[in-house]
Amino acid sequence: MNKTLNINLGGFIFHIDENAFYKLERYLETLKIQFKSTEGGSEIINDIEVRIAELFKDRTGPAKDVISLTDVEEVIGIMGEPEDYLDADEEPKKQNSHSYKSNSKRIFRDPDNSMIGGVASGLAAYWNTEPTWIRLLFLALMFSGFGFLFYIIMWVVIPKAKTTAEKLQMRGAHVNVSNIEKSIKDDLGNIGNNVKDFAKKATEYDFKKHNNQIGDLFSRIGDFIIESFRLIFRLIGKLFGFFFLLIGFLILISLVIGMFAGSVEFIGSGYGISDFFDWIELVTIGQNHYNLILAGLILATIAPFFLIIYLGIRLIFNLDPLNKPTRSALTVTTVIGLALLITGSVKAGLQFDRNAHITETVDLPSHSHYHLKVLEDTIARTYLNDFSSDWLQTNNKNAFSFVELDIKQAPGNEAYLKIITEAQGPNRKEARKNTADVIMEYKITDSIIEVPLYYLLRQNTRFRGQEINISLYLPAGSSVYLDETMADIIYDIDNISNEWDWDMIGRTWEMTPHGLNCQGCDLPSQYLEEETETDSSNTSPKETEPVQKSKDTISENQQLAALIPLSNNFKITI
Amino acid sequence: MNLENTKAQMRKGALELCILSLLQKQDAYASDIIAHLKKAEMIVVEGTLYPLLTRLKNAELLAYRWEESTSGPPRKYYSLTEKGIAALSELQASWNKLVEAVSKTTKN
Repeated sequence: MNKTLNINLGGFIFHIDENAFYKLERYLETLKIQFKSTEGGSEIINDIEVRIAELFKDRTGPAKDVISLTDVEEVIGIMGEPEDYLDADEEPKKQNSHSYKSNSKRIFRDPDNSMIGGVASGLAAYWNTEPTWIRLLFLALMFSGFGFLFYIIMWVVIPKAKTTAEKLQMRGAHVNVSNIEKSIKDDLGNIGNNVKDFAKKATEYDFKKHNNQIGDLFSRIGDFIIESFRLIFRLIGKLFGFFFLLIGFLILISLVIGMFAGSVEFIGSGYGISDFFDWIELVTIGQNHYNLILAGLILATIAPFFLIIYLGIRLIFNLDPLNKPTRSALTVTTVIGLALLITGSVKAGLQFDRNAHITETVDLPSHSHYHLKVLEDTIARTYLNDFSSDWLQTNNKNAFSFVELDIKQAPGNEAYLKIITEAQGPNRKEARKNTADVIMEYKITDSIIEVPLYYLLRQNTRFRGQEINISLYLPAGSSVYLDETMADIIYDIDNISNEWDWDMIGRTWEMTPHGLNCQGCDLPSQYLEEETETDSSNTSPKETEPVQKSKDTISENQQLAALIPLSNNFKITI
Repeated sequence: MNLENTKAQMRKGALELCILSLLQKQDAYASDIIAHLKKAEMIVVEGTLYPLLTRLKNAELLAYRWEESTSGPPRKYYSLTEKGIAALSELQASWNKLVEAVSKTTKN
């Protein structure tokens, strides 16, 4: 028993066996490919179809209703193999005859049994299972959030089975592959068969035609090797397909989870995807600018993402290459996406064009010893407890640990703090305004100075590179203890014992006339010599040095002045 | 050296001349032409003919018209154009020369 199909060929209706139909469809398909680039190609195909219809008509009658596989084979024998159609001056193309013979299964969306887009039914047809199972799987994936996205992608990527041939291919009428695992097994089996075939041919050759040319044997060995390689590559291709799909899925899953839960971290950064979007919001001007960058990001990532998944599916399922409209659409989205991203980035960059700062001076109560530590609150403690990044979001507030502290010698006898708040903006005026968006707190209780480790950005304001530089000015003779908590904010503090910042914490430092020195340490030798000198002249070296410098500059100026009169005279004469 | 290939090339070279002269006698549709050529053993497989007919038509040596058929859809009837007639006489002359030349050389 055979299933039959009804076809319209050259204006005639034929009943044709399913397997015969498949062969005929393949044949015509191959001819179409062959004549695709020929002028009047579709006309040639049309003529051929009419002729085949005539030949079929001769083979059917009252006694015989159905076109069988034999009929099709006979007709193809009459019409000739695709290679025979080539003009004499054209080289026969090997691939064409190959594609005619290959009849592997392909993935299509099944429009006949579809619920939404026919993706599940198509997959079910490919794997020879009930669509219900696939649908349940999709439904399960739907709950985890990315099933929907995956469905849409499959819907776009997999073509719909339009012709009967495609529907047959979808079910794999000829290659009986029930699932991916089996198809890989088949591939392995094919390699095995190939070996067997070859062995058989080789033995036949040896015993029956051993007086033939040796070259024939070599060409067979060559064919065998090429065929084996082809099969091995197909197998590797499928493995790559899985790999690509896996990567695509992982990206998809992490994107979706990150978008909704914000819990996925970029490797090692401590920030998640939702933080990334918050960050964009912080550096942009307003909603429109944010949307511009967001649209750019989405458009620019569509193509690579789509291609990874497409490639994965294609390698596994034997899908057609991307068609031209899709390719140009992907190019367009990428170009537009990149353009939007660049525009958005430049626009954001301009917000950081100019610098401005405001200075605040805080007098300290008179003491000979101070204790310097970080003002510890909940946020500061988070920073101190191994949060290594600068930007911290808590309760919808943005904290930045862009705070630095330096210790310098006070010119007078009073100790004081100088707090410089810096910010950037598109122009100086805006930059100056942006310094005011910073909220920070310091506390001075008697001799204990508590400085901020971070600042908070005022609600609904944007980050504009705000930075706080605190300088503690100590008069000579006073000392300061650097608490362990200071480790993160002290920055390149000049000291005459030349200790690195990380060696300075947990110790007391004394302000000598030469600069900061660790308490109890001896003055370095070069200062000791100077000290004896300065003792005799009764002025501190700190004071003499600038005097000497200014002397130098004066003498330079005098030299310059000697040169200037010439030009002055010259001016006068004019 | 593939003799079959050479034979096929010989036939292919003369095929255009045969088609044109068939059509000079009377207009014909593809199956008629095929039937004649097959009888004369000019072609082995029919596939060869269709690209050739289309090429001749595109070169404006042939034209076709649709004619109703009693046993099915309309048929394509090919006929010779003015240009086709000129081409035929040229090909015919060159064929005659070729036959003469070949027989002269092969007859020692």
